[in-house]
Parts: sequence; C-alpha cells; structure tokens
Amino acid sequence: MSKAERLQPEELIIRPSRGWVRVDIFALWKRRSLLYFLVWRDIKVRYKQTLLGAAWVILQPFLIMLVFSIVFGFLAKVPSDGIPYPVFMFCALVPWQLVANSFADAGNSLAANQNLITKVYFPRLIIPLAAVLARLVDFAFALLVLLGMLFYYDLNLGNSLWALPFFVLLALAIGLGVGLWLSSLGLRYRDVRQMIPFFTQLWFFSSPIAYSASLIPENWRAIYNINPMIGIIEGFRWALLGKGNMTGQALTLSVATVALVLVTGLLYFRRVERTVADVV
Amino acid sequence: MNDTAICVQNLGKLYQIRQGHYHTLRETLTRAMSAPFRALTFGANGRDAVGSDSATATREQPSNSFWALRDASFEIKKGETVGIIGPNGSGKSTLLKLLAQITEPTEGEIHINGRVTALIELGAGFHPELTGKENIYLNGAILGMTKAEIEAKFEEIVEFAGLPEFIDTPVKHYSSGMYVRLGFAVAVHADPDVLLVDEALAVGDIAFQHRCMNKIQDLKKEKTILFVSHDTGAIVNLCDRAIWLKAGQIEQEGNPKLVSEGYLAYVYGQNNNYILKKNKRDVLSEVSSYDPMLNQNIYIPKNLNNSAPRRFGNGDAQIVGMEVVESKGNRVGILWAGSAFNVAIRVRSIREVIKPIVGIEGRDRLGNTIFATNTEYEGICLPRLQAGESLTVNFIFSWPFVAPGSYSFSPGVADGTQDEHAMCDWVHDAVVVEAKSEKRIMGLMKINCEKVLYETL
Repeated sequence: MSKAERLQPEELIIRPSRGWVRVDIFALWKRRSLLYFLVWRDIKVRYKQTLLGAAWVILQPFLIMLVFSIVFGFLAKVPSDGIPYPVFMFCALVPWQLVANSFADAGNSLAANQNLITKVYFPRLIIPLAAVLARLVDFAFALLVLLGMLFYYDLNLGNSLWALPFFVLLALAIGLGVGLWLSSLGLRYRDVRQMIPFFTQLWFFSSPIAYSASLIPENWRAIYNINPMIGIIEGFRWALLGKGNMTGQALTLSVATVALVLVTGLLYFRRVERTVADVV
Repeated sequence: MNDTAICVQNLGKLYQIRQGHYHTLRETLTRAMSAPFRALTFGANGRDAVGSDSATATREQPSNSFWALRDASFEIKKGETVGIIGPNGSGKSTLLKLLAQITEPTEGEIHINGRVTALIELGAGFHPELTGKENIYLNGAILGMTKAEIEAKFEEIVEFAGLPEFIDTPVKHYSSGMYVRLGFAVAVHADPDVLLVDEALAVGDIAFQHRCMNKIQDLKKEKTILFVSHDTGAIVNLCDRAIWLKAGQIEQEGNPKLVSEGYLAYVYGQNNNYILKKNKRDVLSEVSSYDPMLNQNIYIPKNLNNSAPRRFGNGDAQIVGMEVVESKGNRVGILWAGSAFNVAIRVRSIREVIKPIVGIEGRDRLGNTIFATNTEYEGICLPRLQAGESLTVNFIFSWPFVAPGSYSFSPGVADGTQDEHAMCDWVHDAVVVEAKSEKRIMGLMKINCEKVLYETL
C-alpha cells in the first residue's frame, strides 16, 4: 500500500477551534468509503431485521394513500387538479416520505451512533448524511409503485421528466438541512426528540399532499410558498404528470428556503460537532 | 520530515460538571427573554457547555468544572513505544481521546505525523445484525481504511481473528471473546503509523492475549505506539518510556521501570491511605491520651483506624502504625525479589499486656498465606507493657522470589504464647505491596536449583 493511497495527511494538527467552522468538503471526500459503508449498513440492517422489511417500505405509503383516498378523495371529494386522487396524493407522498424519513433519521442519527462517536474520530457530518442517503432506496421502491399506478390509471409521463432529479436533490437537501438542525439541537435539548413526530405531522398538513395548493387563497400564496415542500411536491407533480400548480414563485422560494435551512444547518452542526463526543 | 510522531504542547481539557446533560428548551427561552443578546450566541454557549470557553482563554476556572488534563507537554519520536500510566480519573483516557480526535482540546496543541488508529474499544461500531465479514468492511472503513485496502487485507484479518468458519454469522451470535478478537484483528490491520492502545487488550482468552501482545511487539518495531494502562507490568515490558499522569498533570516521565516504581509507591500509599500521625483525630478514638511524640516518622494505614470488620481482638493492645521501608528507610510500594526490607509495626497497650507477641502474615492477592512469623517464633521475648505504653517492632526480611503481583501484610498483637494466647488486635491486609522480579518467575515461586546435569545418548 503506497503512502499516496492512504487517507490521513502526513501532519495532523489538533487545536481548539472557536466560533464558526467551515464545512470541510475535502475531509468528507476522503472518507467517502465510510459514507458508503454507513449507508450500506443502514440499508442492510433495515431490510434484514424484518420479514416484511422491504415490503413495509412500499406498504406504508401505499396504505396511507389508500386511507387518504377514501377519506379525502372519495368522501370529502377534495379537488385534485384533474388528476385521479390516488395518483395526485401518492405523487406528493413519495417525496414527502423521502423528506420526512430523512430528517427523522438524520435527527436521531447522532444518538443512534453514539458508540461510534465516542470511540472513533471521523467527520461527524458523515453520520446524518449517511442516514439521509440510506432513504434513497426506499424512495426508489416507492417511485416504482408510483410508476405502476401511472400505468394502472393509464396516465402518460409528463415531458418534463428530466427535471425530476433536481426535485429529488431538493428533497434530499431539505431532509438533510432539517435533520442537521434536529440532530444538533437534540444534543442540547431533550425536548427535540419529543417534538419530531408532532413537527412532522404539522409539516405534513401544511404541505399540499392530501389537498391541492389551489385551495390556498391567492394573497396567502407568497407566505404559503415559504414551505419548501410546496416547490418539491408541485415539482414532482409537474415533472411526472405535467400538471399541478407549479409556479416560478413557488420554485424560487423553495430553493431559497432549502438553501437557507441547509447552509445554516451545516454551519450549526459544525459548530456543535466538536462537543458531540462529550454530550451525546 | 522530522522524526517526531506526536508532539503535545500545553494540552488541556476542561470539562463542566452538570447535574443533567441537557438544557430544556424552556431554560433557553427564558434566558433568551432576559438577555436577547446572549441568546443570539447560544450556539457558542452550547459549545461552552462542555468544551472551550472564552473564560478559559484567560485561564480562569469556572466553579463547576474541572481540568481532566492540564498543561501536558511531551514529544514522542517515531518508532517509540510510550506508556501512559495513572490511576482512574488521572486523565489517561482524556489524553487518548484528544489524540484520537474524539474530543477537542480546550487549550494547547497536538501535532501528529501519520495515520492514527485508536484501540480504545475493540469492535466499536460493529453492528450486531451484520455478519463478521460485513463488520470487517464496516469497521475497516470506520478506522479509515479504503475499500480496496480492506479487500487486500481481508484474508489476513480473518485468519488473525481465527474465525474463518463464523465469518458469515451475524456478530450478535458471537461470544464476547470472538467479538473482541475480530475487533482487534481489524484494528491492527488498519496499518496505522501511530497506534493508541487502551487497556482494551486485557480481554479474550489467554491464547488470544498472547497473540495480541505478540502482534503489538511486532508492530512496536515499526510503529509509534502509545499504550495506556494501569498495569505497570505491561508498561515495563513493552515501553521504551513511561509517562505518569496524576490528576490531569504529568507527574513523572522517563524510564518505565523508574516511573512505575514511583507510581506504585504513590498508589499503594494512597490506597492504604497513609496519614501522618500528627493527624490526631484520625487515630484510634479509644486512645484518649494519644502522644504524637511516640509515633514520629511512622505512617498509619487508614484501615487501622476503623474498627470492624477488617480487624479483631480483645483490644488490650492495638496496632497503631505499620510501614514497609527499604534498606535506606524510604517507604516503598514495590518489593524486588531478593531485596531487603523492613516492616515496622507499632503497638500501643490500652491495658496491661503481660507477654506481648507481635506477628505478621503475608498473603497473595487470592488470600493464600504465603508466610507468617512472630516475635516468639523468631526467638524474641518482648517486655511486659503497662497500660498506655508503646512499642515498635521491626522485622527485617529479604523478599522471596515469588510470582510478581500484589501481596498484603497483616499485623497482629497478642498476649501469651504462640500456642496459647489472647488476640489483642489483628488487622487484615493493612499494607499492600507490589512484588517484582528482575528475572521472570515461572509458577508461584522460584526454587533454588542446585545443579542441572545432562548426558547425550
């Protein structure tokens, strides 16, 4: 093994850091092996533990979609922008689940990996990052179900499908951003872990998943669009079905909010990272 | 490139002691209301909760915090093996954690040349649901190996751990020994330049412990090793140099044998809680008219002060002091095989003792009596003691060639003869010492071999 292939620099200087610390992309890149194996571990363990392991990933959103379709689509007859309600709902549920699972996992990731954090050093950012990336597999399965539904309802894929990866990226970014905030805050405040489910539910209902954004009065839209999920969800509907309420304003505001949450999340995480082994 | 592997300068780590680790959100909000400006910097406070503090920059110590390590400076050359020794809470683990980058220093600097691997806890990061093979990859990545590196060394790791037949079994089914073996195997194959070894090695069965030690001896030839332990034996055997940490500061540094001796003398002194006689209140409460003049220069192990259950006797006389000194008169914690030493026992009578006998018993760590003697047995007849009189008996011994380890001395005083007496006072394990030998002793003791003969057939 030649020296060049080795991971750590020849000279390492450890000293107290103060204030804000930049995100060291280079250090992360050098430990990509670890990122890969942590993602792989999370996926492997998740599917290994239960018989229905992989099936749950599909079953859970599917059942949620079914319940909402009955209550909102069939009984309450909530308008769905001319798309069959189940497809309308599922199209939003897929990115929502990616985001919600990502931030929940990332938020708990520091506590869950306590045994690693207190024993070995590596850039801590890898932990929430791995938690988020591991949810991509679930997402891929859900996307397959969605495609099946499109086929079932005989709907054509929109011709803006090329834009889908961008919205996936946006979903990952917001998942990571919120996850970073939750995990950093969770180190200091026990309350955070209690708040996650409540917060998730609140966010679910303030996003146009079960209902259409067109229900929101025009003059409230600007405020409503601050919720970054709106751009993501409408983006998914637009990219997959070519329909929905995608607006330039929603997209711009979404990207701006996502960027803000992610950047502040990263900085705050880096700031508390140095104490993580002492408090976790 | 210079030949320094680790350079530590004025290293310090301040920990805060708090009742609960967590703030509640309400606390922060309340504080935010009362001091809006401070609230803006609450991120910084979060850091202060455990780590560096702006106040510490001025080297003031907040009342509810302590320095786990302070002003530590040392240098380790490439290829050197250095032992860090110290009692629990002396800052050994903190130092290791700082070197391993697990926690950040509050002050000072560390320079490290090359890759560091810490054997702080073997198998840290193993996932119970994953198989041995999967965990090798995972743990290898955690320790900083690339996928290609792990693949290249996979066979070697499996072979070293000695678990080829279980490699596809989830590690939750492993015994704790197997678990640790696999952890050790991965760690030593991470090809570090600097290896930080915690006491984690004292695990696994004897055969594996030997393999670990052999491997470390091997690694010692080319790597820099920092070995943390309170086993002075391992330090003396393995290290080129030792550093003794005491209450977060470097107490002594240098030759491992010398440092170990200093350390052991200190530890055994501490554990026996030697106190100077001038500390009147601590001496036997029944003795009302205690005379400090009589007791000059003798230390009392603290367990001589509390009555039950480590002592028994009718109380006509009492053991009031005991110490173990070497030939020059210094108190010692280590006895070298073949060296002369002196056990001084001070007795004070409460009531008249007509025919006092003072004795001593030596036991190994399992409680086996390895020797015992007394004044009568040695042909000494002690004078009658009037109430309140004191007497010091010195036994001058030569320490036998017995297996290294800890041994205890129990003094006693009785009235009568060896066959028929009343025990006045007996104190179990009043003083503990560490036995050492220059030459390895196999078995419990060394016996003198007069001659070895052989013939070829």
